Amino acid sequence: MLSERVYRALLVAYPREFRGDYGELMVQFVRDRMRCDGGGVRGLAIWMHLVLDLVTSALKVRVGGYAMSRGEPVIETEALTKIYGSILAVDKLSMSVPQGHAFGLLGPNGSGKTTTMGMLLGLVRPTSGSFSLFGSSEDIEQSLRRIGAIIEFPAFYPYLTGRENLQYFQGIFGRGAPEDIDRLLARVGLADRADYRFSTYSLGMKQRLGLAFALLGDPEVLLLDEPTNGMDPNGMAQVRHLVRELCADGRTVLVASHLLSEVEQMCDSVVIMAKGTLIAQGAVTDILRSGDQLRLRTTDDEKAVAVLSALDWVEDVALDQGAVVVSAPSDRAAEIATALGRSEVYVVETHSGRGALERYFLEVTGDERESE
Amino acid sequence: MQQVLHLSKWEWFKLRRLRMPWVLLVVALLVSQLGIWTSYLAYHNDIVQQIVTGTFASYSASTEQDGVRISVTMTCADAVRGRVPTGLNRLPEEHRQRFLKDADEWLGSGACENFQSVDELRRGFTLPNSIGESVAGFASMGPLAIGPLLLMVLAASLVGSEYGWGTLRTVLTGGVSRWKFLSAKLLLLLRLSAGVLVIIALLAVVSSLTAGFISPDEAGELADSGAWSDVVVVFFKTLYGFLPFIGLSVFATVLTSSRSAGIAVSVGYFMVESIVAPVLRLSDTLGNVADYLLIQSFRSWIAVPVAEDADLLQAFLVILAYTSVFIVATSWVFRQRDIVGAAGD
Repeated sequence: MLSERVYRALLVAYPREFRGDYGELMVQFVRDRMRCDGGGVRGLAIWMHLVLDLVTSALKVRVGGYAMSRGEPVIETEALTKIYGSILAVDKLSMSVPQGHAFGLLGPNGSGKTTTMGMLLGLVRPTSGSFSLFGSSEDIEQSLRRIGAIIEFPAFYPYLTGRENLQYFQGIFGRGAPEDIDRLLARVGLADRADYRFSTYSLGMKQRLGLAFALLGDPEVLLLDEPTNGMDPNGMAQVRHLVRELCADGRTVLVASHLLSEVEQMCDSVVIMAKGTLIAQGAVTDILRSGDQLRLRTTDDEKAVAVLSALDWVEDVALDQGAVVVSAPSDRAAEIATALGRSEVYVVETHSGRGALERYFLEVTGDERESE
Repeated sequence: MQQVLHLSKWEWFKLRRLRMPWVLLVVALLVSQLGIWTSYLAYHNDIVQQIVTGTFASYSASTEQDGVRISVTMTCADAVRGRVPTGLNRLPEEHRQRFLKDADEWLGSGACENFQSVDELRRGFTLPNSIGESVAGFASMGPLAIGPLLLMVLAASLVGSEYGWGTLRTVLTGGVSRWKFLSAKLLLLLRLSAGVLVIIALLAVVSSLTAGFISPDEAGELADSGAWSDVVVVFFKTLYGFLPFIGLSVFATVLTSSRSAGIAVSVGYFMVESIVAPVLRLSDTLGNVADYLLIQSFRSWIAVPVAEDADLLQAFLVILAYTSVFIVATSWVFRQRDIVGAAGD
């Protein structure tokens, strides 16, 4: 039989940061045991449970006081669909946002990004499909307490100051300490305008306040919808830096944007949407690469097409306005030149297709400029 | 419940920084004071008294006894309150009997029928009746129901502005339960209603004391115009009577997702019912329907003094039914509805 002293020692030795839900249950169990007599077998069982839990918890990464393994999906959607009347806003969207990543939701206006975020935040009821936050599809309100979000446009009370707005939301959410507000306002560069009414803020300042709001209580996951909208270049750079910083700290950031460059610079992974449908999903580098193109002028274009078509890592080769357009990773340009040289076809001029995510984006989303 | 109270506290944090509720409070106080000071002025204005009530009508008789002239005057106040007129006992028995007989005839002619109205005027500015009358007067002054109207404007603004500014989305993204947020708003409205009634009551006390101070003799005793327990009854009855109006306004606002539409619908209902009810009463078959309309029931419920033919139980149940229907419908719509961005209204 374990003595009360041993149980107390166990509780002290069992670090709070390693306690997940399961750990909390165990601690409660131990506390209950301390209040009553028990046999040695039960005491041993408690020991074993605690040790097992300690080991499994130690293998996990601590994020915001909560144990989750890096890379585990924190947001998952399964055939998520939203129909407004006759408009299909989101069509069977299935995606997975891994923990600790900056994840981009990229698409032109009206592609369903904000609706998707609205569904994840419990604002919009899905027509069909499901989603889970932190592995749970139950009690979304509880999960939302671990999420900071700004959606579409930072909406605050216009007659309250920036500081009062944050005080109010901190109060109703019960997140963080009052002194956090000054720190957050300083972090987003609003310290000197904190006591001005929200209605007097510029769009960029409103976005900054939105970011401070999203960071209230140090959330594990941030959902940012067009976070740089209306910001000056300096502000945009600060947001990019902030997102990177948050991810480096183990947080997950889901950024919805119609700006390719923004997603390219901020995110590790991306989902591209158009007309409510998922077009592509993957690491930004992979998608970038898949969209790479080289435009070559050679001594014999037709022969070049034949030679390059035989290479299995070349996705596509075509003649276009007196040039050979090769869809292949741009960092393999030297190999292309070598292969052509072996066939006595020489490259006269090369244009790299970097910035191809934009072209790819325009291509897959059917942007009007592409068709012009 | 604890979280609803917590949210309600923060709702007040926001609301108190707006000008609108303070403006509405000033209007409410002015309206509530109208009753007290109108009663006071009417009570002290001879022309008004004579024209409207004829209160100072009196019956006089005089006779000579041992060379001394004796005059006896019976006022309506003497007659209604059973007081012996001054000098009556000094009259010889024969004269006294004749005086009482003539006075009876004078009373029988209806000379003092309006005296009760004058007494009511005095009750209107003396404690504790003045408190109940100012509270009930605020709730329903003549054909107008100022209290419910102001309350509906406040309720629609409190809920509708969340749609207009798009802040409802910001609130809900933080994991605040929809029904708890709505409950906090309703609770705040109830607390504000109670608060306004308390302020009206306190101001009525101040006004009554002031009236007594200005003219102590005419006003009589400061606190002789009723029972203090009646004040408590009127307070809670009025508060209960406000519930369906809060429900109506919040429901209209949530249904339309708009502050101005919420105000328009709830005030519109108010006006339509005020027109429809008298029309219904003209009909033998539909006359009873009017008794089940909201404002009619509200008026019956809060009337001070209670009308002789008023069915308070029916009014209580009708108010309860309207409140329940509005609250349940609001909760359902609020929970089901997608929350979109700022409506700008």
